[in-house]
Amino acid sequence: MTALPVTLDITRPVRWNIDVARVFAISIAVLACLAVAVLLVTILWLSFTDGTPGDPQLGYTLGHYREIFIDSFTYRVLWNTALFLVITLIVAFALALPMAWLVERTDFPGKPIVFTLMTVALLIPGFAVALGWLFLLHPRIGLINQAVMALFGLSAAPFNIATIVGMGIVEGLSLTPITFIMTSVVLRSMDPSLEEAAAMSGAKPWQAVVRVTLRVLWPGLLAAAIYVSAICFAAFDVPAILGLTNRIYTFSTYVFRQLTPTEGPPEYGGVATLSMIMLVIAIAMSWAYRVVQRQAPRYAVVTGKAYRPRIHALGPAKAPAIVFVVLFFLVSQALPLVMLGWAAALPYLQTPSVEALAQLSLGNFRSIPTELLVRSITNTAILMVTVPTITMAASLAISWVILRAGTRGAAVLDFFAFLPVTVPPIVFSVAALLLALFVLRGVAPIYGTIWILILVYAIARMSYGTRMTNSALIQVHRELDEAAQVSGAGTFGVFRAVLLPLLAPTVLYAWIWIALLSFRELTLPVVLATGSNLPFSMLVWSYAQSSSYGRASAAALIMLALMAPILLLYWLVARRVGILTPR
Amino acid sequence: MIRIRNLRMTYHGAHAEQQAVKGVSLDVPEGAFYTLLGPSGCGKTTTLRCVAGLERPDEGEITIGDEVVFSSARNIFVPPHERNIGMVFQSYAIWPHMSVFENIAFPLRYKKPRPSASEMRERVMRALSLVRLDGLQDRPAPYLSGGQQQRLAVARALVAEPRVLLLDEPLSNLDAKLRDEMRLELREVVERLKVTTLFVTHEQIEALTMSDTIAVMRDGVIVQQGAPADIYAKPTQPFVADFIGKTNMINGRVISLSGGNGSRQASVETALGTLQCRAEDGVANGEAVAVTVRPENVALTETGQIGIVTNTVTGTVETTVFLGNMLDCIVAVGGERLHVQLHPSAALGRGARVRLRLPVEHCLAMRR
Amino acid sequence: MRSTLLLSLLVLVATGAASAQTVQVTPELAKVIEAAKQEGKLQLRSTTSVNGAAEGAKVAQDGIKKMFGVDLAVEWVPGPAYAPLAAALFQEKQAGQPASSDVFIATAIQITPYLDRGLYQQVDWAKLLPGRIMPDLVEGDGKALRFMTFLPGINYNVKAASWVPQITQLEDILRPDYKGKFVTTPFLAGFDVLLAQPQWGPQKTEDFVKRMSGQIGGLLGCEGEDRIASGETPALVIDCSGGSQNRLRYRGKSILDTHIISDMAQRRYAYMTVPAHAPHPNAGILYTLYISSPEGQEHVVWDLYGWDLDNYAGSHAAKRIADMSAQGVKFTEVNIDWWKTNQGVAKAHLELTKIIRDR
Repeated sequence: MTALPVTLDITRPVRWNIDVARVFAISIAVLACLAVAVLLVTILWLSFTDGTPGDPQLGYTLGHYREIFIDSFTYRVLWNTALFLVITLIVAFALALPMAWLVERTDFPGKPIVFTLMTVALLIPGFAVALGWLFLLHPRIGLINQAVMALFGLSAAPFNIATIVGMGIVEGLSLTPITFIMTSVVLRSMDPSLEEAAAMSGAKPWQAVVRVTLRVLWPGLLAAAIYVSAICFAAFDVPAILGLTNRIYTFSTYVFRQLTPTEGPPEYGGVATLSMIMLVIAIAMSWAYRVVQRQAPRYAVVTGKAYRPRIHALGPAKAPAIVFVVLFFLVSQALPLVMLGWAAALPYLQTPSVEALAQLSLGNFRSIPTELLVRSITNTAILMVTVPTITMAASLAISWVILRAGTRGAAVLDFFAFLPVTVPPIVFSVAALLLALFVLRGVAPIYGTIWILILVYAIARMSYGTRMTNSALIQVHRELDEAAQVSGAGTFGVFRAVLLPLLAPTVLYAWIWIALLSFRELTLPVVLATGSNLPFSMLVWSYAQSSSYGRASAAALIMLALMAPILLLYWLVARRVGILTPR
Repeated sequence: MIRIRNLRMTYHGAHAEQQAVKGVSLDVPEGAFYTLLGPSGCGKTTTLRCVAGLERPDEGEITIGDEVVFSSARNIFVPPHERNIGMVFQSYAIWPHMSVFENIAFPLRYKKPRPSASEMRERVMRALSLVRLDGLQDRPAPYLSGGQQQRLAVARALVAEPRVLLLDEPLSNLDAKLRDEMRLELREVVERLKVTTLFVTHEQIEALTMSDTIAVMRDGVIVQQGAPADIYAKPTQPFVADFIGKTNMINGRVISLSGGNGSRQASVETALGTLQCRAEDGVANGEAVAVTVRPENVALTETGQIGIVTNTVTGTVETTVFLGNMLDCIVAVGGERLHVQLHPSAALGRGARVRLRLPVEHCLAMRR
Repeated sequence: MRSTLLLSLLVLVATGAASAQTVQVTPELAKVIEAAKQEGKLQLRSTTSVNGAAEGAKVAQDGIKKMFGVDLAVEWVPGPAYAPLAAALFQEKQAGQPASSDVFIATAIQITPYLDRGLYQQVDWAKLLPGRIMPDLVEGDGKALRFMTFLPGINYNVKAASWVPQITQLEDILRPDYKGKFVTTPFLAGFDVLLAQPQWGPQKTEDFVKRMSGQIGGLLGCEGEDRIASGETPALVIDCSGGSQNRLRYRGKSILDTHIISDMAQRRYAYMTVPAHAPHPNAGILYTLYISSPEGQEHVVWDLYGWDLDNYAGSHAAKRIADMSAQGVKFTEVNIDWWKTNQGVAKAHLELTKIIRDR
């Protein structure tokens, strides 16, 4: 067929065919990932430096890499960290998995209560729990030790929390709530017909569990284990409170020690080198995580076909199960908090006695200067509002670019967005500190201000943010976009009218979650809070570090009290999104 | 109204490059109902999405009305939201967070000039009654049944009075009875509004009953184009014949030809004997051909009729299926199995000997 | 009777008028006061034990107002210990950033390395408070002002570590029954004097530290007196300032005490310096002047940090030193000059800290 003459529509003005919204989204996404890349490059650069950054005589060397492998202390730290990790995982899963099973697969009563308590427990900062356990099980001053010694006439304390095993147990208790939430999600999404088929084939219930259920669930459980391991590996507060004084170092506390030497400038080179090695290991682990995810049976996206899980009746096992759960909350959460209260009300920690009771007072609370309190709480409030907003905006942009923009190489963005979770927070802070000090000073003087904290917090949370927006955006069928497009909406119109309303519940949930995590964040500000930009958690830590346990406990209790209204908000939103209650 | 010239499009997938459309050209006159028909993977949906602007072709030219919306030569690409079209998706793509009213009103909000609130309301209500969804305007969209959602999608596509309506297999998710209903309704609505329609389906019944013109597609190209009756009665290749309705295909060789172009007749030697039939224009003497005859055109003759009637064969009934309005049989004749549809009163059982007549005017020989 | 009353009233009024500005304002001081008024703010960064931290900041704020008539917003922020803080301040200077503390407080060990690298300002303190600050209190070319005397010893819990007063010489702590019953500081505070002492020297000190490393139950920083008081770490060999039992918190409560060992007796000085890149240098100077005043010495340094400066007449530290000297204890004076002339000590000391850092 011949081409028929076509008239140009001259009434329509010639436009620049630039999709502003699209360019904007891509810019934000690229900028965010660039920030991550810059920080990582800084760490890489540091690992080759010999001397102090900023010193005109700075040299370069490969020596750090050599030293790291030669120095036996490195291996000791890694061994400690590995042992710490293993014990934490064992404790966390041994407690969380049965409880998740009870809540998701049996007729255990009061499930929403369990979930709510778990979320509350999740947000109690690790150092608060560590302090509480210190007061209970320290070989010299631990109350339980003293009670047992008195009871049995022992000369030495039977329990010592200031060991790797002890630290692992405390961290395990501290991480049980998050493990619970992750494993209950895994248990929830299993197709019950698999178990029913096993039952039909004559398998006894426990056989069905081992042969069928666990087999199907192991990818999801492994994924949860890897995630918890990442958190545990970067853990700072528990090892710091329990281990530093006793010269037991895990990775984060070792880095911290290197950064606060007794003389001279911090040893950035060695720290950066160790971090690079950790980064490689972490990337390997996250690659393994992705492989595991791909092999996992495809869990159906929520389309309305809800699985009715198979509920087992507990029968006579109900009472012991309830006791188990109640005991868990009492021992792992309530008890340390009570200890905190006890320590906060005394000038220095003592065993309960008549003299001790006479000294109870609010002195520690009053000795925290009001001005400092107000300033740190204000900083924390600023962080809690700005960080999630920036993180979620960047995450939305990144997810949109990866899933909707159709640009080549979007997978690279996803890789960078995920990387922050593999870098221990303390290392991020160091890189950001140096960048702010030396590179950014002319361009953006953020050193010592709240902005450096905001930016580093936001980058650290980006992995979580993008995971949430990715999984939410995947569930929105592309045709919903296209229907809006053919109805006349441009890129921004599609986003505003279709995507944003559908993503809103997830975004809101993630926003509040990030706000809560920003509230209790400690590791990042340890390095970055140099002046009046200190957040509240830093105040608690500096008292703990100065061994002013009374004031540290008082500050920690104030912190928990302040968390209550925000927790309420979180609980309301989580309920609406449907995360809290099992289906 | 819609003009496509030399459309080419390749998918750059993760594993391979796949040529989806390999040179498609067509014209849809204003107000016509034009169907792209073919099996999955033939490129029909891709072509439709190119017209919508949801895919960016590699080569070719697409014109809607007077406007070139895509031209590879002149580097023109008008984005979908500026093409003034309406589209119904296979999944309906109803926005779950909006009510029925808001779903339909959406295109009006982007119309330039933007209608006033009262005018918008009026047009939405009109669209609602057009698809017989009156009274449901405030219901949240996910609470509609499948059929209602489909009608909602149609209302939304038409409310802004687009110059072109695109439909991507809109009936395939409906059950059989609803499908029959909606076929008629859709056709009626389109005719009443006189809107140019481009329709994509793999169901030949939909194509045959609704279209003004059908274009049969295969492997990225159009293999035959024409009115439904022509496509049905005069397929130009075995693929089309087989795809459109069920047909019997009997292999044979031409032994004689007569008649001029457009009215050729041939004698074909087959396993059933010598058959007289019409022949396609390109068929030559001695050529290997397939004689096609529709099952409903095969007639039962009385055994023992006086005289040998042309194209009469004898065979044994293998299977019969009673379908209520007809008897669907497979009859073994001379090594071939003929698919035959007879009146339900024919009392035939397995193993019965029958005489069948293949009327010359319903037999068509085409090149294999 | 009436004349006595009138006289007393007159004296009262006179002293009242005088106390509104109890200091004699030299022209140099007047300039500093003016500039400080413009600055209006003072930021102090330190650990929680230095000069009472936030509490001390409040006292200082009121004191400066009373002494100089200047309204300064004195803010305290938590910070690291002396050495890391010096490093951080130096890093800030290299980066061209303002200092995170207007006054840097430390001892000779931490101050000396940076004396020639431009970290501190030269301030003519003797001119600013003549009569009170004598020239011999100013060290390091006018860059550091002494304000406190450390008298370190074994800081111990009176009840939980009742064995401590029996220690007569340092070797005693290596006895097997003391194993695990005491801790030391990560920077081996106070051990540097051993390196310079003829009876000890580098080799003997190193051997000792190696053996001690196996004896200690852990490490504790300078401000860990709460943990000593609670019994968690019942004895610290040896501590930094030696004055935790004097702080208001523990004074008179018979919980803590410091036992000075004769072969390690030392007078160490704590100094105040004003960083070259301090954002409010004049406010910082006023702070140092206040701390040096009798009021500052009593209410901030003695009450909240634990000792005062023995150079000032009638100080508590001077009394303690006098008492112990009468018993024959010889105090080594560790100041900036001592540290400068014993350069080899610095390196050796650093090596020692590496021994005890790791188990």
